[in-house]
Amino acid sequence: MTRRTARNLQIGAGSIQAGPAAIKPFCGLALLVTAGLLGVGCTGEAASPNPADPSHPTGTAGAAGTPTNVSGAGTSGLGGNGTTPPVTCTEPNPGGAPIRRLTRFELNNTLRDLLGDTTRAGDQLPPESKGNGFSNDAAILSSSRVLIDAYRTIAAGVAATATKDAAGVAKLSSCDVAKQGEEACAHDFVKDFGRKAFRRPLTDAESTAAYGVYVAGKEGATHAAGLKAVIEMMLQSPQFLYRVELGTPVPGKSLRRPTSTEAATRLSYLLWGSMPDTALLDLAAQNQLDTPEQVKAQAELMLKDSRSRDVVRYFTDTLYGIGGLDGLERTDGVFPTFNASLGPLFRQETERFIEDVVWNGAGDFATLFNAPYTFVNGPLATFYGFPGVTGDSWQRVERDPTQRLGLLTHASVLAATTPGSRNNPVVRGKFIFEELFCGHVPSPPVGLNVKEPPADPTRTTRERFAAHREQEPCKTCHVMLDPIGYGLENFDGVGLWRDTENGKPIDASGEFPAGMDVTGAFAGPTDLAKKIAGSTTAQSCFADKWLSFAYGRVAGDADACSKNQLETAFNEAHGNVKALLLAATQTDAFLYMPAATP
Amino acid sequence: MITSKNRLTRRTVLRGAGQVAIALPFLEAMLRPLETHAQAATAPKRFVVFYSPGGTLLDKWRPTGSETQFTLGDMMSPLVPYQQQLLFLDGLNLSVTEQGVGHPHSRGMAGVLTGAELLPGNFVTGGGNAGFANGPSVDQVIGERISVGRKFRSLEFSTAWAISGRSLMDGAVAETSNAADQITYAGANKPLPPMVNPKVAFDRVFSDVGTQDAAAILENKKTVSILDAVRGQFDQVSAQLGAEDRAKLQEHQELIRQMELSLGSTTAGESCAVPGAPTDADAKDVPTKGKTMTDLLVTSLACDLTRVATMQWADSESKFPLNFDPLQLPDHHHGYQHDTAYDPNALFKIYKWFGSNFAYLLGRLSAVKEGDGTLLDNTVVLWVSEIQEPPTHNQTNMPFMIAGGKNLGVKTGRWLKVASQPHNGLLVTLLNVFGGTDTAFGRKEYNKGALAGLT
Repeated sequence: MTRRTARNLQIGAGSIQAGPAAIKPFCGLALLVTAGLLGVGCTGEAASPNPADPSHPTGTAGAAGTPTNVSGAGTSGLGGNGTTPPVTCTEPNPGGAPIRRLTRFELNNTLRDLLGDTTRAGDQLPPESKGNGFSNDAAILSSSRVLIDAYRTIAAGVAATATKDAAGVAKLSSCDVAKQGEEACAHDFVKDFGRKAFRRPLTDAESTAAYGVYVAGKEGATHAAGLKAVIEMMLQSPQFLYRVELGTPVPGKSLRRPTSTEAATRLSYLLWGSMPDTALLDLAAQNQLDTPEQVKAQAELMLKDSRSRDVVRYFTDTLYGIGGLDGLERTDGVFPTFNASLGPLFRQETERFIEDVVWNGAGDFATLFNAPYTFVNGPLATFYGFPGVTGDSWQRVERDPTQRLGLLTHASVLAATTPGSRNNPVVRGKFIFEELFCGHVPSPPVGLNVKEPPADPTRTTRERFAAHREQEPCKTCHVMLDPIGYGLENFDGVGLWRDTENGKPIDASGEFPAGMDVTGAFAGPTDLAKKIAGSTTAQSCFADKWLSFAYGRVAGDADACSKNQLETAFNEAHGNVKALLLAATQTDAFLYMPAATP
Repeated sequence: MITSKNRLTRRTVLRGAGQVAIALPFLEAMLRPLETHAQAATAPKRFVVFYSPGGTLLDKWRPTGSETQFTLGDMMSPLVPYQQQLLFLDGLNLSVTEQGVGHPHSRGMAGVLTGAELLPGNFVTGGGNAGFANGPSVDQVIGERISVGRKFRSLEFSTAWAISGRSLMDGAVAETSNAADQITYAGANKPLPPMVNPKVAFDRVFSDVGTQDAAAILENKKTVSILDAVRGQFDQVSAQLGAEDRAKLQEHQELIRQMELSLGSTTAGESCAVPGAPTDADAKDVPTKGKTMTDLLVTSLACDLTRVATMQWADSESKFPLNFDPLQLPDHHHGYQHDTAYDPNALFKIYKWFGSNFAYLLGRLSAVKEGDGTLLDNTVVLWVSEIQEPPTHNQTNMPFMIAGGKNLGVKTGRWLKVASQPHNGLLVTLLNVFGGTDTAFGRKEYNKGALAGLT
């Protein structure tokens, strides 16, 4: 392996040691949080006196997170200005490989591919813990009775549906009961279905146990009832619900790598969000997924399957916070042309746009943010005021490139970053800073009376928020956030264009704070979009988010090499998203596992 | 509201239990059928937590008058009918939120029932990256002591839960949950998500109880064989894994064992009336859903399917729409706290509405007869929130309240002003009300023994 040196990986400006008083790293600057701060509002209005007993100060500033598995916790700032010494990557360093459990998304996909069940039964499960932001953080896996009960309900329901009639049973197994007998067909089923459900051939002990379940299930009932019991058992087993990896030693190194069979499962959940198909398992059985080249060749084939599109859609829905837009509500009367049927259309516009860019179009990160075109159907076009589109079918349209470029100017993102019904440039600025640039902003200190400036029919939103940027302690952070958010002030809370607010012209100029690779002023939304599209930091951030999602973790120190490999590959491919997906199969984190622990 | 479908009399319950024993002795051995206390002289003790988000308006929460002669203000007026069952606890601090990482809401959620700090983790918050609380919640510890042998160690109900999760918009569906959502914990970093769908909750809690005909017994037997085999799979896989992964699978496996033991549960309780299944109309909006969940909670206690339950009205972000009577407010609760702008007038209405929901719970508990008294007499209800003062996130002088528990020795009908101190002592006292001899709970430095004066 060639010698590689990771770029600076630490996000943040380095932590600041706490003194006797509460000092926290605060937007890159040390800020003394004193009692005098308490009760000060960010609008400059005095808050009610704080009734705190001084001997019991409420919530002093939060300590920074453990540096072992988080980056830049408690600090703010962006990649590239950290102080962590460079990491050498002369030897593979895969980071941790804790056991992973299928997420609801993965379980639904797997039940579809395993049994043709498209009922999304996995949605009955309680939501996953947020952790890394993508529902799949292996570090915080825990179980509860409500989860385990739901697994049983799901397994029983899915198994009953699959075996409810002769046609269903015939689909499950080609074995002819009339000719071969129930016993032989049951053994056959255990072997074939078991291999799919457990994503590897069953051991003898597993086959024996499963056959025992068949016999018990058949008691007083039918062959189909026996098969049902086998399915029900397997769907609750750890080999199905968890991605169990034992690995195989790498000669001469204190490392393991996934076996070919385990690599097949890694590939399928990474690129399809689902189980490996029979072809992939057959390949694995011939040990054809042992080398990085073999893995990559297979990954290239897998990206031609539409399931890859589902995975990218899940990722971007989550990253851009638009997955829940179907329930979007707005205060009656504030936006006269908005209605509840538009929320799903907002989401679909962005999904269709991203799918087109990634899979049919230019394919790169920059185009996501600077493309002049988008996709609308009749109702959405009418809502936007785009002429010439009618009916429910979707079509590509060119937008006014002086107003809208890329997905940041989609109604989806603009509505998703507007809590309530009033524009909030802080929320939009924070979204861009954190989700698009992987920056980190601390909360307002405890005791600070956080007040949005009151509604005022004589001022623009920008004027209302002016105090944020002018007075301490607010300005420390808000000079960084608010001016980014101002760039979207031409869009209201449902993403419609506006030239004026309360009779005054909109000023959508803004600026990025110092220290970013896109430093400086921009003139308005399209200028902002172009800056993001051209930012290496934003592009690398996209790769870092993909790393989190792909490997079910937050990149820590041990992931430095994988992070570097992914960012480098993405940037060398000029931000091509498919290249990023392929690169995720070639990192230390994908190709290796740490040595076994007792 | 749910109407009764098949009221089970004490007689039918006992007959059902007898049939199990006669028809299927193996099940008795395998499942250890739940003891029935229908003939017991004393009703079981129960513990219920009621959570409402975003603190209160302390000056409106406080009564006026003296410890025993007090008057409730307008905001708390929905509780007037239950004034003699209330114990205001005025002066406790959520001191543990001085520790740990995360946003104040998250730290308060983590600490309020655990007395422990919020651990570091991967969930990005403005106050450092957070995991979950560093210990079990008091309800779970009580459950381990008083709910053993019931179908459920505890039951957690909610309405508008984890809807804000990761996303920034209103009205989103649950995507992920985090420390800002969780108040109940099985242990450190082991959050217990609540049930949020009334139909799913009903099926889980009630659908298979009390049905002990031959077909049901055979189905149970088959389920047992399936679950036994599943546990066998866990044994095989766990043995091949490292300690951390093994612990995760063992936790999962132990919960399967608990589920297995609960199969074939029967109901008990002189006023047990299993309701009909909820309909879409029972979940049409947050207030209706909350009443439905409250009904299910009270019935699960009345039928002795569990002895510990939590009614968590929302997550601490509290971003569900308020476009229902009597609120009809355009923004969400968190918006009025500080997300949009502090609005004490809107908050007054919201807290009064939460008070009416607390009153509804007390009313339902009071309506269940047990012996000479009611289910409320045998239940300690604890009302908590995660902050005190909405605009500042201040976490001193928290609005703790206890209701009911007469038969457990709780002296209610009081406004108890206590010296400023960590709330851990309250958690210790609660453990002891349920028969414990505890001297500490949660983070060590905030423990100064039990809080006196409750009983």
